[in-house]
Amino acid sequence: MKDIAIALVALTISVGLLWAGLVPDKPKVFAFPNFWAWALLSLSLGLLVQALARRAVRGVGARDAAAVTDSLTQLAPLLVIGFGYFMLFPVLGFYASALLAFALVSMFYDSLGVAARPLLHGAVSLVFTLILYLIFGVLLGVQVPGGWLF
Amino acid sequence: MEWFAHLAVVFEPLNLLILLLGVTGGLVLGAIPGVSPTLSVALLVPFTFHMAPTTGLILIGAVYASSIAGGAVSAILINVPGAPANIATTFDGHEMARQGRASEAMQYAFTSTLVGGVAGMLILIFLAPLFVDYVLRFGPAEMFWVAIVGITIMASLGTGSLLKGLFGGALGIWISTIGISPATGQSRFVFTHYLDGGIHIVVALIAFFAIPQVFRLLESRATVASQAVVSQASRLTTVVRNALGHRLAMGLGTLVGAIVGIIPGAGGQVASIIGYDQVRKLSRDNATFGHGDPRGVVASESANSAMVGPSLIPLLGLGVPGSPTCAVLLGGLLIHGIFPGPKLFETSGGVIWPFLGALLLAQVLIFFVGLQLSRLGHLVTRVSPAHLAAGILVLSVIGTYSIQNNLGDVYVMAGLGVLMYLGIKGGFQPAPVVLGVILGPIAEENFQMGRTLAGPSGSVLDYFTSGDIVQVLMALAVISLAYGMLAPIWRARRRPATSVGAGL
Repeated sequence: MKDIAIALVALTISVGLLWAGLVPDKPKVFAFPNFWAWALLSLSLGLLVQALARRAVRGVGARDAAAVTDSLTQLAPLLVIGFGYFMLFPVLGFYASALLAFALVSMFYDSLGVAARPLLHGAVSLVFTLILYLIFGVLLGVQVPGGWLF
Repeated sequence: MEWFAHLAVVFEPLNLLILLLGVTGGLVLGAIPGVSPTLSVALLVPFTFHMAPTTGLILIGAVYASSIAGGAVSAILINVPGAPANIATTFDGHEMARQGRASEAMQYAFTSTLVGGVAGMLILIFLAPLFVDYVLRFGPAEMFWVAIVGITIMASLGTGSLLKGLFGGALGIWISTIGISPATGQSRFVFTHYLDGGIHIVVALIAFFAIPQVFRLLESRATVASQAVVSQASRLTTVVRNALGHRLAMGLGTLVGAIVGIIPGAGGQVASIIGYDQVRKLSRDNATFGHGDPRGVVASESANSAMVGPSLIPLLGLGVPGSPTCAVLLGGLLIHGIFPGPKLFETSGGVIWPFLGALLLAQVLIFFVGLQLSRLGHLVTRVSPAHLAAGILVLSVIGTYSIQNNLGDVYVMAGLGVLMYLGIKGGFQPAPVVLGVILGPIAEENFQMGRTLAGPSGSVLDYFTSGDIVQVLMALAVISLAYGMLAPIWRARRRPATSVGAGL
């Protein structure tokens, strides 16, 4: 079942890319990408045929969906922290938001449980951000967004 | 001996310092399970953007070579290879560690790295210019096919599924067409202003390699250091003498590594496994292999180090990367304005020769620095996956932003990274997609040039299918596709329990 779903997603992407390249008044501009969009369509059809053939041989597996759901549940905090980090770093400043993101990811994904060792993670985050600042801010002079904090 | 004249540049104080830092950093990164050489180089490339090309490439080269060698530390200490190239090192290296001989095993590993690495680099230095001279005969049709061969090789080797590998390569080429068309100068697929300039190679590298790794590290919270073993000190001179005494293991491992390295797509894991297997088969008293025999460590590490130099021959001569790490390395060369291909040594000799010289010197430094660091190896392997993931996430953001000081690049990187992670869940691999993004513009530019050249002389199809070199390249593409289709069947025949056709 998982293979069929993957093939259908690939097929949808291929059709979408082909549709995006259908600009009749600019054939020369889109000729090369459209060639590859057709190739993607053919390959996704191949994936679908292969998935259907395998399903006939092996039958339908039910554990795949559960595995995907487990992964997504496990990674939900990361997605929220990541989204917040990307939105906040132009506002708070790169180093302040890096400190926050590092500390939050470390605490949520501590092998001993959520927020099991806040002091340790806080200290590691601080040291990491300081090293980051010394290397990129001072030594290499890399420009990063500043903000309300640092 | 042009390279010798440029060697002095490597010994300039700044370059020497960068080389030493690169080797040390690469060894540490390589020793951390979960940080592959590909990821190490991908994270590093944007920061070298602010350096002079020679210095930047010296740093990239040092990290490339040393991160492969560093992988031996975790392979020996905790039975987790730092890189795929160190898989065979676990067979005997970890057994030695369990017998309290971890330090000795690491000394064997770094001595073998020195011998294999130096031999491989000398092969590169002397063969690469000859290969490049040959490539001078390549025109647009040949270069177009070189790009296609690169995609087919990457799709058919090491991706697990040929169709998915090809899909990834084709998708990468399509992604590379976002932005300005080289044929007409008009915009294509610019759905948001963040995509105005297309997708930068480094944005793609970080998105496809680093972000999925953050997700994967956090999926399992368990620490990998639970199996770490204590190492006992042993006399360096004795071990070095013993390692050099294993002439068959050292020589054969080096030879196999150098040969496999030249073959695009084979990579370090193939080199070390074949090297290990050949040494085991040809050795007397081979019953001890797999039970802590130092010859196993010597064979594996000399093979994967000897692979490093020759793996750059197709990369520098044709612009065809032989492994995912070489694909990332290609990105590093391109952002420094170094274009691999027929005119490489003519146009960029002042940068490329010091780069090769630095790679040679790096092999010697890996030996000395590696032996010192091996005493602290157990600390490196205890880094928590959560800290590692958080560090990679933050470095990915700063690395992406710093290329063009553009927030849009960060958002594009994050979006592509999440999509790649979902793709990996579905059985797709990042290497063919990245290679598609890198080789797409080469294919398109040469395709457009070929169409223009073919216009007055005859049909476009004739132009792109005639000529000896073109036909050899077309044959290579067909062979790599055939290998991709047949290899899973051969594997399934050897292991009847595995489902037939699983790799197609």
